[in-house]
Amino acid sequence: MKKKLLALTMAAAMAVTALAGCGNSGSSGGSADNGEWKWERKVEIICPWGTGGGADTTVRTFATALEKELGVSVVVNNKSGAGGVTGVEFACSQPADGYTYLMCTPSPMLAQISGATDYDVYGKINPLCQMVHDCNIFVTGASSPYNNYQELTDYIAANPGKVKCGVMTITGLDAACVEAGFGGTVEPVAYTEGSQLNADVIGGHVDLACVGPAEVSAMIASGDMKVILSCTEERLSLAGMENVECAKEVGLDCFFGPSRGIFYTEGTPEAAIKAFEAAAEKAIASDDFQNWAKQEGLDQRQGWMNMADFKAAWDADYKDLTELFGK
Amino acid sequence: MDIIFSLILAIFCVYCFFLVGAESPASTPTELGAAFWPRIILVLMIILLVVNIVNSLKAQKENKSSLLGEMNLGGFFKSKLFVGMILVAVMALFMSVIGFMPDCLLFLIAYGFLLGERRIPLLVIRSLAITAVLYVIFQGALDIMLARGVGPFREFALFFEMLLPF
Amino acid sequence: MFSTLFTGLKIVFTPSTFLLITAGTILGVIFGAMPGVSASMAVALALPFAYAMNPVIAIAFLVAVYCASITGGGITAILFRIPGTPSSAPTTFDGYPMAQRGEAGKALGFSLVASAVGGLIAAFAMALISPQLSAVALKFGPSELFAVSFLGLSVLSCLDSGNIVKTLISGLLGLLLACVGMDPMLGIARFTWGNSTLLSGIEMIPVMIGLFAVTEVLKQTVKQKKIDGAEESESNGKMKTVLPSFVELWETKITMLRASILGTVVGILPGAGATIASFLSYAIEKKVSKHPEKLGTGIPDGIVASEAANNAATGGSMVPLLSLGIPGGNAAAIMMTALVIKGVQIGPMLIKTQPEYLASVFGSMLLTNIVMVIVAMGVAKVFAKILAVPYSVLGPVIVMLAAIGAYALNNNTGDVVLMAGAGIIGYMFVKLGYNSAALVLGLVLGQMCESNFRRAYTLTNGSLVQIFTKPITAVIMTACVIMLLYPFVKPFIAKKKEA
Repeated sequence: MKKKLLALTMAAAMAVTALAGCGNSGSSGGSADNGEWKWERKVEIICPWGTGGGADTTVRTFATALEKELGVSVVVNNKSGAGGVTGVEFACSQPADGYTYLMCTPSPMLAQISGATDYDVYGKINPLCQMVHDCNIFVTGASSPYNNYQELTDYIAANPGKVKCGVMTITGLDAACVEAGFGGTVEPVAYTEGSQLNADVIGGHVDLACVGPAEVSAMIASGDMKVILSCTEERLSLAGMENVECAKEVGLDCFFGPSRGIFYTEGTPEAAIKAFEAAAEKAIASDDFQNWAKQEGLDQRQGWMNMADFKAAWDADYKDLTELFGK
Repeated sequence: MDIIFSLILAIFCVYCFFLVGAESPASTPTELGAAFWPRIILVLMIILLVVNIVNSLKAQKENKSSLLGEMNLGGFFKSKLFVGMILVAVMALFMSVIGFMPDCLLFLIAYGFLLGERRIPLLVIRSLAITAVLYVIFQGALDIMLARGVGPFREFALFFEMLLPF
Repeated sequence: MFSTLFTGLKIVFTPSTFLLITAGTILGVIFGAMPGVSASMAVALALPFAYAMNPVIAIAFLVAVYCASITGGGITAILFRIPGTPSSAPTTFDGYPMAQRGEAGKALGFSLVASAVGGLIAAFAMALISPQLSAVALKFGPSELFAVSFLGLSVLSCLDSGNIVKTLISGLLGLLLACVGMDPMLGIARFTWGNSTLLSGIEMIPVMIGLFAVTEVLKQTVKQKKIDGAEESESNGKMKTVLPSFVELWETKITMLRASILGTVVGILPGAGATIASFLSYAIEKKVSKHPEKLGTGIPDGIVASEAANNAATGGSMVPLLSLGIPGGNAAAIMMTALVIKGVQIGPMLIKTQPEYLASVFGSMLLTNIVMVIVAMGVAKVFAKILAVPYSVLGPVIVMLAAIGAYALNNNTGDVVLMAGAGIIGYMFVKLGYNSAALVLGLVLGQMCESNFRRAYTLTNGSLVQIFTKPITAVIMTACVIMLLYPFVKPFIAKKKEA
């Protein structure tokens, strides 16, 4: 009996509040008094990748820091699928009311360039700011006969067609690094599970792998993996990678690395974008975020980029990747 | 019935066989290509479906049953089963439009009615309570962003999200 | 070696840690039992609590949540035919029929004890021979993994001896569905017809939930006509939690042991995991069982095979994480990032320099797997009360829970449509004598099978000879061929014997 009563009261309460909700919802739109944006309800950031991955942890750490700046809660909504395209599409389908943003990397754009999807990723989303810029490195198993870039190229020359490089997406930035770094001499092989790729490198089933430094730092520390080359402008300062040559030193142009940023959709109020950008800059500069970035090895490249810089970098990426993969 | 199903499936497989070839580039000496694996499956499937059709035809000759078997199509469309299927399908299709809460509520009422509950007020109250419980558990405690719907339904859902204490 | 056991026990029996692990177990069982909350999501949901703890305790806590959530998945699989986690899907094959006969308590008892035994065996394996195990795991490259997944598929020929042709068609259909979406090697769209929902592929969780849970509700909808409502709820509410006796449990000892070892090994393999472990284990049980025809009708062996294997796989997946620094699955990956935030990098160096981490994981597994049985029994009793409500309430709620479960996977309503479609088409499919278990098996193993074969092909520069002459691959493939042909050859052998 008690249960029924409780249910009844709850139902009644719900009905009343629902009616009230419909009544005043019309008036609570954006309130842009004298150009200042005021945050009234929770902000949602859509993450096109699943819980637990690099993209997800980045945006969650960012969201926690951003909450303190905005004064309202910031929630992350994971909409994964189709290499990120599903999430991008969902974000674009939401009303551009200044409360919905998208976290994205160049991967969904690459899916468009390579023809995997017809969705106009590049045209539909606009860069707002960059949070972090990760890099890629080439690693090999401890027992492989080459220890640095020079020895590797000699080995490739002596054994043409033998060396393969494991990547996570054949149309991704890691494959772009293989393509730009080795031309046709090393064939990329796609893996669906990062764990399998790492195990295959250590077990000697695949010769090389193009991965992010954080994922393999434990294996480098234990000596199970050797780093051959970092796809960066300068040498990395991470433990065990200080003496590894970087792409610029050996004269290669393969600097692609996942840059994770926040994007907005067409029609988002100007004032909201400005307010978000200002708050995001403070959030990225906060100690919590910076400490996390350092621990994840994400402090190797400049992370924060404002709207203008990020837009320029995004457009440049689009041009370079279209040249490499465009049909 | 089984024969028709097998036949449709077999024709569909043949279509897929050619479709997947048109969709993907040719294989290279070191890469089998995207069409290789599905084609093996499709060929095996077509063979087995033909075997199945032959088997069923044989069995039918022995039993002298009609092509549709004992299935009564007219009765099927009036049956509870068919209505149930429609309800499930409608629930799934409308979730993105009207949002989780209204969708859940309407489905619970409709399906409860289908299953023989005729005390309407009780049914409505019970459905409201269950919807509320599900909403609080999943949207609130487990932080799953349930579908909001579009237009006024979105406003409605947003309003409830603000009420949650989590 | 024994110092690991000793330190582990010392860590977990500190009162505060003991309480935290118990709390983690409760949390894990409840999360696991919720459809839509997978094991990795359960771990992610527990993260905020873990951040506040000392890293050694944090990992013990997260391991507790992880192990317990895999067990929790079995509860809803048995009671409602909704696998709470995908790795519990094979549990529905025998668990649900048992529950229908009013033996839900017994089924749950077998499921929980098997889970605990599987988890404990894997925990000991992890603590004692972790380096050796990971050395074996590293021998499994793409060609070997292809052979393992093919081994799982080879059971198709004997999944249902009544109609081999239809079972094979069902399995192939599952394999075909696994092909939908971006192809795993080249990223080319296959069978998508330009639809972006199809581009992300046919997810196995919505299909499973639709095929098992929604189909069942539709079936009951038809039955309702014949059976009176009151009678129905009485037979269902009879869940008096009659636990299996020790003798009954002892009878399944061989199955339990076999499933535990298999689960541990499959859990270690990178690229496999708890779901593949439980499906493989069930398939193998079907092969070697003395009475294969009874599997699927509701006998304890089926439950034990599935549940012991998926829990053993959780222990197994900790092996590559601790001894190589490779997380064996999503849940392990989340644990790893959680510890990184605390400034600890899991990997072989950590185990060498700070062995208390290994000890902590081990201690937590021991404790969790024992506490879990009691906790899960309590949770199951609460859930079983739900069974007593009339079906006009329960049926629609099951469908809604299934919808939430499908949705929560990617927060995508497209998956709800997929689930509904699988339920409706699945109903007719089963009516026509096809086999939904075979379809799911194909769907689960399809991508692993295809991608590893193609990967091996590229890595050997297109040499099939090189692929199949690798020692491990050759042995497993030979076993596959024998298994595949056995049902066809069996009649001939029998005839010869007679003559």
